Amino acid sequence: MISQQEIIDIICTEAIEHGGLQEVPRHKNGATQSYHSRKRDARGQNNQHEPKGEESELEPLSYDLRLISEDDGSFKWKD
Amino acid sequence: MATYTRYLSVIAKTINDFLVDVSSSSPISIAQSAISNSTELKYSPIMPAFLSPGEGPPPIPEKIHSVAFLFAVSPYKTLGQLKPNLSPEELQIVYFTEGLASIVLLNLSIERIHQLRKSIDECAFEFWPIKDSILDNRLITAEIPSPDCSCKPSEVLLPVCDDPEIKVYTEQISASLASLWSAYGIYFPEERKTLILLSKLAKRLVEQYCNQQSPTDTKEPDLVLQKKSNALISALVELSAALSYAVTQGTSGSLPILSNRSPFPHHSLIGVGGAIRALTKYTRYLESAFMIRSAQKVICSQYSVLKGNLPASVPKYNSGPEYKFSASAGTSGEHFDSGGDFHQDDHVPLITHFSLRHGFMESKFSVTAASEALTAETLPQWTLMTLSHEVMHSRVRTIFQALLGRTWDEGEYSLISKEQYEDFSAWIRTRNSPNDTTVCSGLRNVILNFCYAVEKAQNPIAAKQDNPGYLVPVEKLSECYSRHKQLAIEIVVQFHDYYFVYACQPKMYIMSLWASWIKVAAPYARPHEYLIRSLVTIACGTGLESPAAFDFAKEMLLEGLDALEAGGVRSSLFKELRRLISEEEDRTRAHFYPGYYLIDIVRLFFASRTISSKIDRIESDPFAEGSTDVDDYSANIFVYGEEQSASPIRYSLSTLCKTLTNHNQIDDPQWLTAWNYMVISS
Repeated sequence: MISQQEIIDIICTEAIEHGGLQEVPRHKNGATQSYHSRKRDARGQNNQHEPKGEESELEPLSYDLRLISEDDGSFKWKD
Repeated sequence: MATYTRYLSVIAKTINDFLVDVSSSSPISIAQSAISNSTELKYSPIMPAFLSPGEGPPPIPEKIHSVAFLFAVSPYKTLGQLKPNLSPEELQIVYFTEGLASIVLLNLSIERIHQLRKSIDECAFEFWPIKDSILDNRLITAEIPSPDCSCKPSEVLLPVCDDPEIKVYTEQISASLASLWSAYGIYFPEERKTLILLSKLAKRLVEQYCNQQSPTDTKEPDLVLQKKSNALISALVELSAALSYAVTQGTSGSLPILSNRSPFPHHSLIGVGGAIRALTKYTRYLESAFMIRSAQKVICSQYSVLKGNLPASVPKYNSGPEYKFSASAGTSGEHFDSGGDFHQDDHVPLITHFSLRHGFMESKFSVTAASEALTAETLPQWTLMTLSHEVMHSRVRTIFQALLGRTWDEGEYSLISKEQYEDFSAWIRTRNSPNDTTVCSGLRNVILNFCYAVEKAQNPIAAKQDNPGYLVPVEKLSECYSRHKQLAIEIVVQFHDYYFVYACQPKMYIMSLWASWIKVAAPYARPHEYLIRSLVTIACGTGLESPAAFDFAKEMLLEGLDALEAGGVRSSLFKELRRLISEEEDRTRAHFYPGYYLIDIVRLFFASRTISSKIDRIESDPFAEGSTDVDDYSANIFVYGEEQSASPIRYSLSTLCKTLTNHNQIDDPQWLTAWNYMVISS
């Protein structure tokens, strides 16, 4: 289902995305009851990208997608 | 409750003498007795094989004179072959197990065992003569047939590396492969092919690591280089660990039985090799179906040229007839099935094992089932149907890699490349009068758009403070993608699970999902997120406009929760779900729309009748008899010996359905669990 080349490339992607952190928890997390919360978050929130302190040269996109919270408690998407 | 399951126990009396007993007592009392006497205890559950409707289990023999273990690789079929050759009395002393010694016969002479073996496929066996309940292990006899020779040992190419850090892993991987090669030759011949493929992968990982250590591209920053090396080492660690599990679990209980203790203390005598074989066959079945069409090839070859007008506005997304599941079976017409042959030529099979700590989980090289599923697979919380979700993760990895992944030779070090960002920007700018784009590019943009919308959903703006004119630099988009990619993955996985495994049965899916989710922590911590995930999944493929799709999903959810409660499955979480969907309906609707947008588009481009018909196999599955209806599935615990192969997916779905509707034929989860593994492993 997943080819050898795909796995090798996925490892490259993970190096960029997660800085080489291991996917499977190493010590781990006690009871099975917590597996869904732990297994997908084994690496924690993905914060492997520290701010570079410089802005990209790419022109930022003007994009007004937002969720509006109305006074009556309702919500409305706008873009 | 467990009135059918028996326990075969062995207590060491001296270095050669062992007290052997078969009992229906709780294993807790067996363990308590062993503690009181400070004796070494090994035991395993064994299940009487031949039951009759309306009758209880056969009686346990008063005295045990012998125990014969048959290591049948297809015990369901073997029992079917044995049955006509057994007398009525003998039918009562035949048991099946979850171990490699898949069939146990009590109180038969060795001559009778030899006679019976002629009526079945040749398999290994071990025979214990017992006198006054004592086994003298020097009198044990055993026979092992010649190992399977269809795979050549020379095809296993072990990884070699002089780097001392890597040597730790290459040595462990090589040792695991050697152990498994020997065991699989006898107990699981077809899995030797997996070992050949894994050895090639390990070799490739090591070579890639060595290349990283002496790069030809000097432009690559040192830090990036090191991250890549770290990722490769992490991969070797994961592969090595998964193979170790395969050895300790998959070969436990092999010949000679008393010398191979299982890592599971409650299966310490016979092990769980049979159950591992069932997990593996279940996984291989799904893998083989998906290999008909490689997602990576379809995306990179077909979807990179196929043009489409993929919707870019989340607020205006309204689905439509083209998104609706087609009711006519047998016809193709799905985008994913068009464009020629995209068969996957090579693949790396997933290693399968049980894990108490990880529960149901997927990683790049393995899938695990919760260890609870060894005892209570028939309960909705621990059904093998959850394993399909994990296998789907592997499929979805390939989709995300093809759409948004990096490769070793491209020299791109950011999550979203310049080209991808510019493509996304152009697509968003023209969202009110969209142009055709390639489907590949469109799908990538839809995922990024979803991640951005989720960020916005989590940070609504008060109407009074709404000041349009927001800018989204590439860093912001990357941050949103990084933060919400996992949610996008889960939704794409759930589509695959719902469509391919649950055959788009919304009520069954919602019942199965919530029956299992009430046993895990995350839905209690983030009920809204899990509610949205379940709602969008059953809404996809309806073709309904977003508000109507929400109404449909809401109704189906409430029906499913009512049905679960009527069947005795209750949770405080259900009350919270009902509250979220009524008192906070407007907020729930708002969060539903981005998910519906994503999963509906995924449905349009990743549904495949070619693959789903391969999974269903209703024409050749002896229990399906040509029907897709789960209620018609005729698997029966009183019947043996079908020659054709059942679909493990349809089989597991059927057993789950029986549990959810209280239609199990006997009330003994351990017995039914072992039965299910026996059927699937055969």
